[in-house]
Amino acid sequence: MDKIQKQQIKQATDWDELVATLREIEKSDFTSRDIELIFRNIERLKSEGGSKIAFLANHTLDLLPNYLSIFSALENVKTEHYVAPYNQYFQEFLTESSGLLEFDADIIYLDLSIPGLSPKINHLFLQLDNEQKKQELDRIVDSIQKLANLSKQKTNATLLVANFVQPSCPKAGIADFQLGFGEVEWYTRLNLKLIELFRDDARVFVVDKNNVLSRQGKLTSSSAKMYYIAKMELNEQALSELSLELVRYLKAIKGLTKKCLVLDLDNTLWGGVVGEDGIDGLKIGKGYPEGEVFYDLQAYYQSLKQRGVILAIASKNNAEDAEEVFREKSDMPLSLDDFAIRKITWNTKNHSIEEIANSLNIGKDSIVFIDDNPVERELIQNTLPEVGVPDLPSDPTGYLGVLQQKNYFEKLFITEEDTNKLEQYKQNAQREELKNDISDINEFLSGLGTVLTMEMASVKQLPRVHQLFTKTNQFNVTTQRYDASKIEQFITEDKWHLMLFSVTDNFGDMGTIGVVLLEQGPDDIHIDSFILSCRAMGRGIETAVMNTLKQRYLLSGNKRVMTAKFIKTQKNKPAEKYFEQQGFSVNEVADDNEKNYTISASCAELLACPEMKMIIGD
Amino acid sequence: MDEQIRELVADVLDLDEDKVTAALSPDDTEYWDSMNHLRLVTALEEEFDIKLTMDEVQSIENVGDIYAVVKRHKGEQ
Repeated sequence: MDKIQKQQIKQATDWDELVATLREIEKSDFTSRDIELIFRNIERLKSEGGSKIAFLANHTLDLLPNYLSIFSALENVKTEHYVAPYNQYFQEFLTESSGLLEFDADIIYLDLSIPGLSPKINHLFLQLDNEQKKQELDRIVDSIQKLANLSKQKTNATLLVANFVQPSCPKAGIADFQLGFGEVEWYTRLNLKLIELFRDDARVFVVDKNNVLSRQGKLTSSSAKMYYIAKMELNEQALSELSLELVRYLKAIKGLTKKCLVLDLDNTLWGGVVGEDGIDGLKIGKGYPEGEVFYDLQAYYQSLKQRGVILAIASKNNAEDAEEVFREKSDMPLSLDDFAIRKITWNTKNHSIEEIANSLNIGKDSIVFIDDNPVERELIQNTLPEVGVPDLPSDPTGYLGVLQQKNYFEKLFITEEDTNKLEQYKQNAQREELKNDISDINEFLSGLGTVLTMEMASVKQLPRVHQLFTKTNQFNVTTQRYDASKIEQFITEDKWHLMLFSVTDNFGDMGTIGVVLLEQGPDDIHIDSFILSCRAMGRGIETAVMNTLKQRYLLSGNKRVMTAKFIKTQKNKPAEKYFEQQGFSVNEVADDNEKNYTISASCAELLACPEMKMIIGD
Repeated sequence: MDEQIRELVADVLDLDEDKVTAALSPDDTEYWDSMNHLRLVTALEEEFDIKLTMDEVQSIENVGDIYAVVKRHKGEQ
């Protein structure tokens, strides 16, 4: 922080002014030298009645309250703290009128670490036999269970239990997984046990400290020097990261969870502006960079919906144009039905958001607004300061990272009403089946639940088709780079058949991954281009597609012969033997780099390929 | 450099800068406790891009010792 910021903090006269001042400062500017100053000014201006948080640990956590206090203040939440004496976690529950019991905490954070809990595991892991390791694990689980029970009996607090940090460098080195009961396995089982123990407990929750520290990197989470001097296991950076995680719990416990996400449309749900670029010009869908960015964002909003967040739209657009995008663009995770309310008008957005709040009967402080346009964000921040408005970078690839870091929608539980459990159970059942022995590649591929859809291209798919023609290098038999107007001709003229194929499987939707361009003669058909995206190679798709072509044109009696050409490039080796493999014969070698192929209806056979469901459109 | 250190000590211990003299020690101010001693070290390490040894951390008894240890690391006498 600079001197002016420090002065403003020192001169703030009330809590609101202090919070407003702190919010103006970048979080990364809170350096070690500033923490104490900010903390003391928070203490100076906060009134009674903050959330009471107690800390119990067997290592030094004394600096954690300072960070938690600051990050809570940024959320306009006041906190009071009590740090129990080092290593006295049982005594604090069991002694009448202990500091902990007198404090009457709302939240107790219990952070025990292995060096203090089990010197054997910490130092002698490789000398223990499996039985001894198991005993230590059971003993620790038992202690934590006892502490949880004490917490529930003796206090009214919600207990947060930190899980255990897996060592970055196991004592057995890379052989750790071969030990039978190695160190990583030991910590994993212990942490798993904690999840199981408290899964259905409404008053005890596990904090994933192991993961929190991994976010910034375990090796930069501690200072050996500070550990030896003061038993400080976490450095200030790690304490800051841990505080941010605890603020998530604090907000959830206090019910400060936002309820509704209001989304802009153009350049927020898809790339481009529907009113200017038209539906065909919008960037959304799998298979190309800009489309995937917005696809992933939509999928993220969809997952928020599963968490129980209400989705709404506030967009300045012609409603018919915008709604048509949802109808026409099939490769989008969100559909119109996903939105509880849509304000697609030329009204100002603060007006639309107020209407949304009114019709849903929720407070404006329950709303988060996402818009790529900084002017619109500024407008909402100024007119409706209680609405959450995340600042977004100018590059949309950064949106998702920013949004995932936010804590707007944290809840302690996601209830059955929040989400559609049925779907999850179905997917899990499918994955279980796949776990069974996979020894044969065809069996594996057949188990993926592949659905191959083939259909004639329509003009609205032109951007994706154009991209496949221009960007695909490997599985591309002739590497003809057609421009958009030429492709449009292929789509509209009867002489050409331009077929697209797309794939979904149990794990998701790969989108449109290939294209074949056929030129019809009187009694023959010529494969001008055959393109398969590299993401879909090695799954038998190319054989399934060729089987379909043989069926459609040759075995049906439609054409007498099918011809094809292969033109060698630096990059298309994966497609080099394609026509031979599919039963074509070479009838002419033009030169080293070009071969012509033919297959007649009488010779065409369907080849074996992995099981998949075929959907053939017209 | 002394001035930069004085400002930093004043920030960490929340003192007015004119109170920070070479003789200032933990006995003189309630905020210079063992935790803030460590925070002082972290702040110095960040500010001057140095790493103090464990011995140095434990041997700092007043602000004058801080001047000396930082200068030693920065190669100034």
